Amino acid sequence: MSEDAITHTGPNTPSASRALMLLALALCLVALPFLVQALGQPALVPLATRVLIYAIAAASLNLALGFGGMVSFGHAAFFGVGGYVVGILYRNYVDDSLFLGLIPGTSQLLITLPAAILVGGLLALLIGALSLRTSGVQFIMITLAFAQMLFFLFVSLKAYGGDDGMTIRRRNELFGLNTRDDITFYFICLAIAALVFLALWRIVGSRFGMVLAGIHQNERRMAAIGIAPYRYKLAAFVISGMGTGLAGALMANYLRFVSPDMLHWTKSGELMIMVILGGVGTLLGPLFGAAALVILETVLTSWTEHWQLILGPILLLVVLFTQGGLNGLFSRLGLGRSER
Amino acid sequence: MTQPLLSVRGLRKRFGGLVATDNVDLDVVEGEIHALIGPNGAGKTTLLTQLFGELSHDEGEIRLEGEPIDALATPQRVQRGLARTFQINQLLPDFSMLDNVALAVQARQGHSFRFLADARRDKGLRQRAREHLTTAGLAHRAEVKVADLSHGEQKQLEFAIALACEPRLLLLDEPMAGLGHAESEQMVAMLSGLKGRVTMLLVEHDMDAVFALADRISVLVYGRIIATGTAAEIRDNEDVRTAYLGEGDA
Repeated sequence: MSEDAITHTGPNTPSASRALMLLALALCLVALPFLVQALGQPALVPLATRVLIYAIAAASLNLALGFGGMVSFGHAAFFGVGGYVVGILYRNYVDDSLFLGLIPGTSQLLITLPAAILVGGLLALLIGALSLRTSGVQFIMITLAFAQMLFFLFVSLKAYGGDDGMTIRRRNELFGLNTRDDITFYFICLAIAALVFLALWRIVGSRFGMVLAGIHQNERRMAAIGIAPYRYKLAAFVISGMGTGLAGALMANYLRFVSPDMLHWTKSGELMIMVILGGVGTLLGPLFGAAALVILETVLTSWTEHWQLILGPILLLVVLFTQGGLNGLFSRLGLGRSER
Repeated sequence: MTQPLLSVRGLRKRFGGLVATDNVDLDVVEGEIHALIGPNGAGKTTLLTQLFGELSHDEGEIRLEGEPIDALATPQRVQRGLARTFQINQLLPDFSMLDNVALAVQARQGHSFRFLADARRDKGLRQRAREHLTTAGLAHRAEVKVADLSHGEQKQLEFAIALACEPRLLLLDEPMAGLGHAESEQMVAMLSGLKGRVTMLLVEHDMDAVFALADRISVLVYGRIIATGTAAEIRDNEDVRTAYLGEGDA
């Protein structure tokens, strides 16, 4: 028992304040739709839904980028492909046709989401297996190149709308819920986001997570204790792709529309900005980062179409002065800390 | 004679015009501390690095327990029973001492594709890691982050991690370098305490330590082994005197 006490004092102990903060955050997120309704701002519910979806994507990217040290500039590929899984399956469902002559379409969320996760994971396996033979700038460039290839592939796929994308007339169905309803869809996204963050929290603290963090810190050391880094990096990259594909599928449902925009390299950049804004290699950082970027974009675009001119300096300030993004800032303000 | 634990035959490595390892033959027998000494730039670390598989050799053969390991990458050699410490510390700076050692224990237990259970609450891992830290005399500093440790402590941690790999053969690259007098003595005591249990190939400049610890000594000069023998034999060897001890490098 005393062994335990020694082991778990120190920086790894989830402190009481941290647990309280998480509880408060969860309560806020659950109460949010009712609060904004009461305040007469129902338009904020879809906005919050977007934050949650981007948070899933950014948190997934963060597993590779922040925890694994793999700076991927191609995560839009997984995001977009996740979206297209929903779009294409819906098209086949409406036409009552088979995708590639094999796979029947569907409009069931319980099928489209796992399908998007699967496709995102397989794509990440392919891209990762090739890209992870490089590192540093080459890795950034190769992941970017793969994502751009997919972007141009979908631009040229006229069958699925090409440049214009494709609309999805109705959101996918789930247990007979009215997914069209903004609040219902918000809670679906919230539940899924909670599961994703829970899974990432477990992964980061697991044996696998320790190895991943070790590889990030010193690959030579890891080899010297008998661990070949490649397989672990690839596995993390695949998990990251799965999560991002899931987010893409939710986004396609949210927008009821999917287009090559979701695959564009600027989308990879946005996800990266969310991670950096929120705090690289922190668990909750991507949620804060996604919220900050989505809200900033919404507020600033209502002022000026050149909103990125203002976003730039804000990003610069955050990077220069917060030491660990918004997550770091919050923890220093005494709101508890998110584990590194 | 029984089969040596490590057997190196005709090992060569050149970097352009420089011959770093020149037809090295070396045997390390089970249980001994075998010291490798030589002047600066003789290629001692380069030789260790080739044995450990971080650098490939051009020619020759390396066998561990009779099995050729030339084609194996470093992680596989570690699984076969090699471990090394680094002259320039290779640690995980954001982790605590305990985390660093626990990770080596974990690697020893097989693959790490376990995604759910909290590794820092794994009693088996933490307990083993603590034992190794205790052996290295570091138990009281277990929770301290590596980046906050002194150079000497980091050096000792290198050693604790290597122990956690439970090696058949431990390659030590200047474990005393940069240590103070007291720390040096501690390290010597530690190494002699493990003598017989772990076979060691020790690269070291501190001659007092070498003569105190080593069963046999090999002398490397310009990538070539010019003599191998007991401490007394090496002291009396003419070639060694002129090539090495005479140069006053020790």
